[in-house]
Amino acid sequence: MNAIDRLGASYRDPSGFVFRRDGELLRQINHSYRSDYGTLAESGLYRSIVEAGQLIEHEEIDAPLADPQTGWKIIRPRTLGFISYPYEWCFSQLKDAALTTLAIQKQALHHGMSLKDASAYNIQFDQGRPVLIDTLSFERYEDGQPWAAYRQACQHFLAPLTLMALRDVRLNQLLLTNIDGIPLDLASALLPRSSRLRFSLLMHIHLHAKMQRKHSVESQKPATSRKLGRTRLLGIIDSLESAIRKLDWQPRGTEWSDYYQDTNYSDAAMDRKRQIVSHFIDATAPASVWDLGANTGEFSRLASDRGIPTIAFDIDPAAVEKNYRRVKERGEKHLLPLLIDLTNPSPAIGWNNAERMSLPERGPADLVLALALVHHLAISGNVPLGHIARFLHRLARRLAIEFVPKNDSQVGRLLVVRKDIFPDYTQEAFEAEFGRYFVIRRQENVAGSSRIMYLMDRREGQ
Amino acid sequence: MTALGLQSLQVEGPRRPFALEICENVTTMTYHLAYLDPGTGSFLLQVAAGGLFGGLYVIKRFWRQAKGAIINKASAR
Repeated sequence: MNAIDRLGASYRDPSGFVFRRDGELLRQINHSYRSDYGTLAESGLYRSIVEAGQLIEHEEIDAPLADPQTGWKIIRPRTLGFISYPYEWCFSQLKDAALTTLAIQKQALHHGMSLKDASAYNIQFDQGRPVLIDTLSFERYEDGQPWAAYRQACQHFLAPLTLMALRDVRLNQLLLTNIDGIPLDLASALLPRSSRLRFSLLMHIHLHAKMQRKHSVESQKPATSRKLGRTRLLGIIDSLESAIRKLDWQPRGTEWSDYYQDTNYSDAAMDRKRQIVSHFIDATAPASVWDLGANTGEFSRLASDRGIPTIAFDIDPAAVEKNYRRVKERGEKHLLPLLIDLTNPSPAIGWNNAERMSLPERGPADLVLALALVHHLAISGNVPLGHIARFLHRLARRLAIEFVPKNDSQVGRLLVVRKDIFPDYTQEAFEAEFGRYFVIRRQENVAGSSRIMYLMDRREGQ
Repeated sequence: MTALGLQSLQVEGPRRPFALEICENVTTMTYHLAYLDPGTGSFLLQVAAGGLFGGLYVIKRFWRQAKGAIINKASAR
């Protein structure tokens, strides 16, 4: 008997569900979706959007159904190395995900189908580009039908992007507390009054919020007669697309985006650090790398340029934005920049706390880079060294970590306006605390600085 | 129109005043058997404002095609 593990996020749509069997990710298609699935292939839509890199491809396999009562077919989608969530994306990532969703919807209508949902969680980043991962998101378009996913498209994409562009880029974090997108009445209340002067925002957010509020308690099913013609539907989608295209946010003036210009590292020391990190990467030949506190991805690229799937995490929206724009400019396929506050990493959220995974649940990575990071966690964040070691033990099979001693001017800067309450922040304490969770394999001084680089292997059973 | 290849734009545009559209559609709307709750207000807004968006879309497409045709004609000379 093969154990079936149904994914926590895959329960809403009666068309099918995703599950794991013997570690393999599979999707069951239910009888109820048989007809739409046929149309997806026969209409040419599947081929068109897979070739455009907009939908994850799959193969049909002859395998036992996970639920024989409802099941009809099993497909095996190509799997992705890492699942990320909209609250971890920078502005341009969310914008690209939105535009991809709308482009897919236009293609779907062209082929006589329509997206029945427009969830930002159905989009993932694959080889640097957004891609739809839910093959069962399509239904046959019936002429005259309004778009069932219109509200979701506004809540998951337009509202957060508008708030980020016109109010504050950090408002994407509202997606963490609103799993089905930002409620439009909330977005309407938070947006500046001037947003009403933009016709598309006036309609899709402000008036939309008013209409929702007005009709929120209607339970009567109105009779049929008036319909929404195809051109009108295309007009709505075109308006959404154009509203989103016009939204912009420029990354400047935030915490770490100019860090490398501001650091006291000499060119020689930076070169030496690059050599050491490259050496650690080559020595460990990791299948995946997570760079924690990656800034704009300077060191992440030492891994991703070697073809290693690499995630560059940073707390600063401007740094992540700059990093993502560089990924796009260079057409990089192996680097994914993401927004993460390591002192408050993404939790498990949603129904049963199982719809969206916490950060540690998505690990461990083969190799974690923690460069110029520990002093920020220990001194700015007041996190004891032992706690940092225990946390990294959950994330990393191997760890390349930099210790920045107190005599380093960067640490001095952190202590300029506060009392030094960190007598245990020493190299000896660092090695002792990390030694409980990791075996220290190598240790290298960064010539031209007082910093030390370590390569460690995780101790199992901790 | 034909010379510019605009036959495809013979589509429905705005027909009634917007306020009237809203009033009419509150009582006469089609529901779809979606697995998501599409929201009554969201459905009503689409039906009510669809004519406006559709009209703008037609004008936009017409303008793009006309511009393209003029540019093509000019470059052919």
